[in-house]
Amino acid sequence: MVKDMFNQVINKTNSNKSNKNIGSKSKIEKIFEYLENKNQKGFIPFVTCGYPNINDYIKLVSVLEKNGADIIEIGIPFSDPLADGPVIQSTSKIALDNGINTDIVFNSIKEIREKSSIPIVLLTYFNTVYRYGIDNFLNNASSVGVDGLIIPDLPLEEFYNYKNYFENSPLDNILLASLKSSQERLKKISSLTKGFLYCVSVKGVTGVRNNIDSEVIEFLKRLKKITQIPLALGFGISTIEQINEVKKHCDAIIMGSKILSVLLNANDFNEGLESVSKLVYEVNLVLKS
Amino acid sequence: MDDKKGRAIINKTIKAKKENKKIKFLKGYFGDYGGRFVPEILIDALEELEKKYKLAKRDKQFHEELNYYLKNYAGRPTPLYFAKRLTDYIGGAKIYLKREDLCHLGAHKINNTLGQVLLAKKMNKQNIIAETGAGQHGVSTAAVAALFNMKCKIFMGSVDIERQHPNVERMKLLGAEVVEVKSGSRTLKDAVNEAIRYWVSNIDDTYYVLGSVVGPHPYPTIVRDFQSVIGIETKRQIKRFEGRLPDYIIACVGGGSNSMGIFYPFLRETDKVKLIGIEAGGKGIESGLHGASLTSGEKGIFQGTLSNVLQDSFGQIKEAYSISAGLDYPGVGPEHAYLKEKGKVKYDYILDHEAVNAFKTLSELEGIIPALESSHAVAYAMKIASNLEKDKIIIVNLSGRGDKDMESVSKFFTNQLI
Repeated sequence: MVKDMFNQVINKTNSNKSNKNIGSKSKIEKIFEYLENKNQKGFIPFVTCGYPNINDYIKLVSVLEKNGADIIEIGIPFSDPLADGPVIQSTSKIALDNGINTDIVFNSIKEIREKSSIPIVLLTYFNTVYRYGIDNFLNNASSVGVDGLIIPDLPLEEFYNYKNYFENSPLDNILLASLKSSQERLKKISSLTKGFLYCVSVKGVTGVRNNIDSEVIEFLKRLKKITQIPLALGFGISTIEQINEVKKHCDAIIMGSKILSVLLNANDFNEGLESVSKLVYEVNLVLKS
Repeated sequence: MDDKKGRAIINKTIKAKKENKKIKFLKGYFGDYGGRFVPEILIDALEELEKKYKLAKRDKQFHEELNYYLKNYAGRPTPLYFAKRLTDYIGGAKIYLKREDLCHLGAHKINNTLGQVLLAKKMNKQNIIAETGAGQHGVSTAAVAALFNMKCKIFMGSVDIERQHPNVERMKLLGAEVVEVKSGSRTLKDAVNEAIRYWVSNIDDTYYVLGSVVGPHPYPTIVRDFQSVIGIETKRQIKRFEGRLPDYIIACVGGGSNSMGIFYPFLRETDKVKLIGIEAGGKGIESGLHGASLTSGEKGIFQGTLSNVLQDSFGQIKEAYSISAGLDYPGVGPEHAYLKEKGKVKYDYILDHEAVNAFKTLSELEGIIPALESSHAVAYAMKIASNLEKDKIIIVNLSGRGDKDMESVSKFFTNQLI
């Protein structure tokens, strides 16, 4: 009895964990623990499901894993991706033209799961989830082996309105923090996010960039003081120089547009895939040293 | 047993009432509709906008300045005009036209742009951006930016740039930079996407003048409030002419700003005044080529707000269609979705050819060339007036002038001949 009460208190204090996770860590939490113990940084590449086509996308995921990805972020293509720049707009459009829909995304993850147990997080705009039925979406996602969910157009207040759904799901709901978020918001966001906190490194949309906003390091330092949760930095991370600049202030790097732009600009998929493996291998080397 | 049942029902009602209350108090919501579904980076800017708007709303000086420009620059109040020849031709209810087409620049859009640009000035933002479909909101924003010596960028889909070319030239003359949007369907919805992306990337010094009652909170409220001047004037004018309120008010609905503007001051009198919003039926609802999100869309989240949306079964947004560029939008303002659900406003649609017919009829009978958007409302009035008694009163919001549509209409007739 007393022990139970004690556990409840522990659970309440550790706000980054929901009741359903009592005693058990999620796959994402475990990978960050592992990396921290080895004093290494995580690498999270992003791909658009169904780009360039469904088979090659599955091949791409396996190449990313082989070259050191710790978590794979898979984007469900959306017709109106507000938070995305030209690269992910293009790959999303190609994927949609290929006939990709939410069911196909889930099936593709099932297929990936036959060979791999790497943590997978889905990035999706909220209408995709809402239209599918929030419960249905969360159930299907977790049953095919998705580990976490990122919804860029579901900020704190709106997330709060749907919180019950997420609390009843085993998925890690990963929230986003921006350079413009107030201190108070950052505290709330980091207490509600699970698995990691997605830190947006630019005042802008996703895309290929060469430098780091001057406010980013201060931002990451500020967050480190607020929260224990791992910080993953994304949006605009494209070069080794950028990574060297920020890596000691965060726990992982998310890279999407850069990887996809290499594929978009290649003469054919195999050539692109070769360049991507090289890029990813080099990036990961920096993060693991 | 019965007692138990009774209590259960009471408890249920209390619970439902509590839930209703909860919904009402959610910030930025109209019932289930509205909200703020945007990337985290925009929240700060939307909060600041909301705060500054609330201050401005209570600020006498702000209203004085706005009223000064509405009167002396935009030409308000606009007349309420009894369309006698149209009324006689139909042979039924009396048809009045609220002449928003006589506003400076030829549409109701100026009511909102003046308000928002003054707000931007108060917020010390020097750069103005806006999206445009038909070009009316773009022209209006460009003009007001020129008036207040501010930098202005207008985002416009390449399809719209082609079909509304005179308006592109006007915006350029007024000193705005017109940014061609080549993504997606290259129409209004993509112009909004691109404007939001630009705003996200230039958040510190840029003010986004959204042109309709759509988008994240507080835009649907701000735009509705600035457009309410239409309904406030209408109420005063019809009382003066007829000594009573009208029986019907009809307005077209794309995003829904002119209709929200004329409906809003009448929402407490819907027992006497029937409010009717008219969407673009395009080539027919079954054809899939239309812009009728309230008639045939479903609940969804699009461009920052939860409303009725044209979408497929997986939530991908469908492209809208209408002969009028201003109604060619797959979403609609969240307050309209709410008013529809509550039964406060009735929504119906008019097909392309009916709108073109009204465009022609009003031009021939009254010497007034209505915008194709407004022609939808005129067409609906013509449809119902003949079945109504002669002492009934219909007011149509003539939201804009049709000079911009001459080419679309002549193309329509040429295609019909083929």
